[in-house]
Amino acid sequence: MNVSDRTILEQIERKVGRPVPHRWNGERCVELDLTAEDSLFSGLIRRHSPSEKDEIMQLIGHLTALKHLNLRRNKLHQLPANFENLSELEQLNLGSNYLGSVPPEIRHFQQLKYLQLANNDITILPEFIGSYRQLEYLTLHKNINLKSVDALAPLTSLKSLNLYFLNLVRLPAFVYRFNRLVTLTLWNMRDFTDDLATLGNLEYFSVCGTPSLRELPPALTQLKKLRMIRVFQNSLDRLPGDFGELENLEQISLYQNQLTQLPESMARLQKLKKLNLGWNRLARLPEFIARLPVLEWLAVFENPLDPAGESPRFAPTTTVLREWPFTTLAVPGK
Amino acid sequence: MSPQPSSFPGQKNPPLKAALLYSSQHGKTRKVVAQVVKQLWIAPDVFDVANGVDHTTLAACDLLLFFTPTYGDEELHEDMENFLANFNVNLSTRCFVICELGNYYGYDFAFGAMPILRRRLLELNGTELCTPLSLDSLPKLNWAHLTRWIDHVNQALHERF
Repeated sequence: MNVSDRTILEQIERKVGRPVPHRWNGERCVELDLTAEDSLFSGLIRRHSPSEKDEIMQLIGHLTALKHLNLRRNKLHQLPANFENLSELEQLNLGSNYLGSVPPEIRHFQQLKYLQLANNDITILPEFIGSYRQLEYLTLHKNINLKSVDALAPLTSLKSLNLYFLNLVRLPAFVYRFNRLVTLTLWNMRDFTDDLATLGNLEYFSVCGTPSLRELPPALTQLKKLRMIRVFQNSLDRLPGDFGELENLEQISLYQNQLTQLPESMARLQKLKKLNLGWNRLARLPEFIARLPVLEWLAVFENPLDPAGESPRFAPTTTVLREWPFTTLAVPGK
Repeated sequence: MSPQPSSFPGQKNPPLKAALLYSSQHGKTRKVVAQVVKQLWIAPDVFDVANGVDHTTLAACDLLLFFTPTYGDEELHEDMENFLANFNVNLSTRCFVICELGNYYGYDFAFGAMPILRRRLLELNGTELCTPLSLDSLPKLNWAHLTRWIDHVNQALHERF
């Protein structure tokens, strides 16, 4: 098909039925976004018929200079064979597309730095995914039947890995070698080893939804760069005594655990802005919380706080949620 | 303390006509709906949108109540999405209420499927009766929070109708 990118884009927009966000480099289309905030379901072709989707995707397969392509939330189910022509892609978002497998058409995309495969029906990771040696950002969350991620072992350049809501139970040993990771998101996972300390670049760490997780891995407090920890919906009944050594923490979510007290060392969290302690077993709040100098947001709802007990006096700049609101959505006129 | 249904003073003549529409994959939303119906001051007709709903029936209602889980990437449950994509009734004299499930209590910004529903119902000129509800239903349902919200809905019904 010897047609200019401008002609192809015109055809795409005609079939989509509206303008499609894009960017040019000279006469070549280098970015295309099939999502838009002003589209009700976000994906611009989500409600198109399978044959219309196929025609549009075939056309996209001719934009061979594309570097960024966002196909999120379009329920594509599959990609056309000519998609393999897009080997210049550096960023590819295939999230929420009901894909039953990692599409073989992306097998030779060696320039990929960002790959979003979340919210699909992927059950097995192909070996070729391990060949993306430049990959820095990978999301696989909510592929709930994916039971092994062993094919990721060679991806040592990863800076961000999202394995939320998968069926893994234990963190594969090779992940402890991903020492460039800045963000790691896990779900229903326990038995961390002391090798967790090797992930010294982590700034964002989440491990949620693990009913058998009663305490955090001791090595966690060696991750001094951590800025955010989300450990909600576990069964934590205590925090490490040296938790306060994580002095760079800005956000902590301990929501829905079984904590009865907090370690005094948390008084050292001088950068902490948000703290969610909702739905624990705290009968009192320690005084030091009110002295955290930049605390903006504190949630303590659903704790058996003694109403007759002394409550710390919080600065007026701190929002304290003693009851969770019905919604966090802005409600006009309310 | 919630007044009992029989004491609801807001009965119009003819009485308020309401429909409750929900979608449910694993039964949690269905359970919530059953609880809501018990505690509401009104008795809406209840429809699982998976079974199809006659839009002319809905057009005759004063109030529509929507209950849906959040799925995937802040998306509606498929049945509710399919319903909403074809729902084109002018709601200019009607009110709506929304409850979404499956929403983690931790973000201080809007998150979940509710904004999609809400946006469409406002596009159809509906009036939101009261503050909507986001329920975190994993791993346990917050029944107390639900009850507080039903009281809030009942109060809004009392004030409006």
